[in-house]
Amino acid sequence: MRNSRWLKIISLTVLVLVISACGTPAANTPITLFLGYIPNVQFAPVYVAVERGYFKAAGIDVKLEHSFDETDGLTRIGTNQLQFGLVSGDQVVLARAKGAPVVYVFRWYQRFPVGVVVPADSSIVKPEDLAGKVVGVPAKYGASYVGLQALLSAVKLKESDLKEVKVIGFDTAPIVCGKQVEASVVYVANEPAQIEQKCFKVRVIKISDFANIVSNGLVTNEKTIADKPDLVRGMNSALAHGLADTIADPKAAYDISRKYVDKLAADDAVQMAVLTDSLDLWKTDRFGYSDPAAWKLTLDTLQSMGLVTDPVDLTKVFSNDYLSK
Amino acid sequence: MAQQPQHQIIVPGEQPLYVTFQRYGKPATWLPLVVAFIALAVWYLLTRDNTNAFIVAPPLKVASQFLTSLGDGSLLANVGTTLSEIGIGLLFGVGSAFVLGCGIAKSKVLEQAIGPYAVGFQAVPIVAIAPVLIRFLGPGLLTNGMISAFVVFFPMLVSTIVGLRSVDPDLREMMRALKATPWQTFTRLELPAAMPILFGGLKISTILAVVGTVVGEAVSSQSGLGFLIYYARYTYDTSLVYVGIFTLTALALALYEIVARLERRTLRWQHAGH
Repeated sequence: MRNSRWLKIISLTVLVLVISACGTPAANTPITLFLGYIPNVQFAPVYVAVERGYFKAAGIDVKLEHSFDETDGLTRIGTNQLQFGLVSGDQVVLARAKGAPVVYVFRWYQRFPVGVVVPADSSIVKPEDLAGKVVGVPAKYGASYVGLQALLSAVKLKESDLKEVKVIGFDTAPIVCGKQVEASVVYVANEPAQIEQKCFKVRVIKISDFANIVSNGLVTNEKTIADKPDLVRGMNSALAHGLADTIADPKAAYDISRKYVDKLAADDAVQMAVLTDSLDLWKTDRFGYSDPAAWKLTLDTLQSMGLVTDPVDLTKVFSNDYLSK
Repeated sequence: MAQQPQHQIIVPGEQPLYVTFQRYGKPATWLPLVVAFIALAVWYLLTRDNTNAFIVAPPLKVASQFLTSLGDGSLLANVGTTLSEIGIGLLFGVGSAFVLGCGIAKSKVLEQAIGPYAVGFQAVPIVAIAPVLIRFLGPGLLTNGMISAFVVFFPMLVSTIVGLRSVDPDLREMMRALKATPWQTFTRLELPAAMPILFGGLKISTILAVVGTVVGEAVSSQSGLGFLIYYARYTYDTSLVYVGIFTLTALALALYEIVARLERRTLRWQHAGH
């Protein structure tokens, strides 16, 4: 008799739990999004997508992980420890060449964000003028170096035509301001503005004006694509909305970024200029679309540099199949 | 016949018992080989299906990469750069630490004036200092050597101070009784007495010099083993990363062994009395 009463209580509890579970909407998928740089106003589209609920609307609870180490992030995506990251295209080709099952599914930067900066009064006005000059690069690897090689190749120059390619580290402004190099490879969205704030007016030769190579975009892995294609579509959709909103109203996007980037107010003028300059790199008729020709040129550049020696199937490196129609 | 190292075990109430490594058939020689063999076997078994080769490279691929890098001269060129930077680091780091250490050991005023800064300076992470040094000195061999010197400095400074201050007061008294000049006291008593501790500091410094150099090469460089490792990471060439790491380890061990041999040679007089 007593057992029967307990059985009824337990059955009722289970029933209540089942009914309440059916009544609540399905839980969002938790996702950590890897961002290959420190918190910065250049990530405004991501911050906008988070704050305006575009990830939530796609059923995703996103957590942002900022890091300096892009290689580490992409390796973790390749091993499925992470599912998504904003990583540069050259890294994806290099990782793919070594067997990492990573796939680039959303082209965020439609124009390569690297250029060559020279003092405004320099005799260097076009890429051909770099012949015989000392050009600084942060390192003899990475997107900056790949960009320089693509630029030289586009104007039929070789590295040996320059006087020297000098490794100057990632703190470029003091080296350029100190005129330790005659030109330097920089990220066009932020570094020219920072150099001008520190010392003198500069002129920028944008690599994207001469070579269409792939830059940062959303990367995932084959397992995520196979198991959760809708999740990939959701991430792409959220990013596309964030990008569209940022381009439409950069001031609002900038204000949203304040929550994520420390001490933005102390540097408002420069940082707003950084965001405004970045917009041109993102604008496109179709957000996320990858141009196959850009991937071909990226691979050709990496192969000509000897960085890729293993065969790479470009059809597996990127995909436009998960973009919003 | 070479004298075997002896370790004294004193059991209360009994005569001291002397134990030598010879008694166990030179385990110091074959034990590391056994460990290496087991590690290699485990490594081979874990990577033989070649999945995730971009994370963990199989040993045979690493061996092949090693031979390729050795054959085309790139590995030796990188070793040469790193060795040069280590040399600069040890020269400046050990040299300046020894001079300052001697000063501090002799002068309380100097210790109070500089001591806190020396300690505070050591607490600054080398990855934070490296970009600052590169900004001032410009990138290159000398800068990376200076970053190495920065890392080497503190352990050598402490060893110098401790070594010079650990001299037996009775011996100091004897030198005073013999009317020895300060220079004679330093060269005949303090320096020889401090040698074991100085060599301890030098051994630590040698290993740290390797670490400092690699940090410098990682921040800004176009050659050296640190550069090789970062370059290989960027290209997801895991086997080349391993080649860089193993070569660096071998280099550190070799340098340590050189200092250890130098120490045994220099301090032979210490064992002569046993």
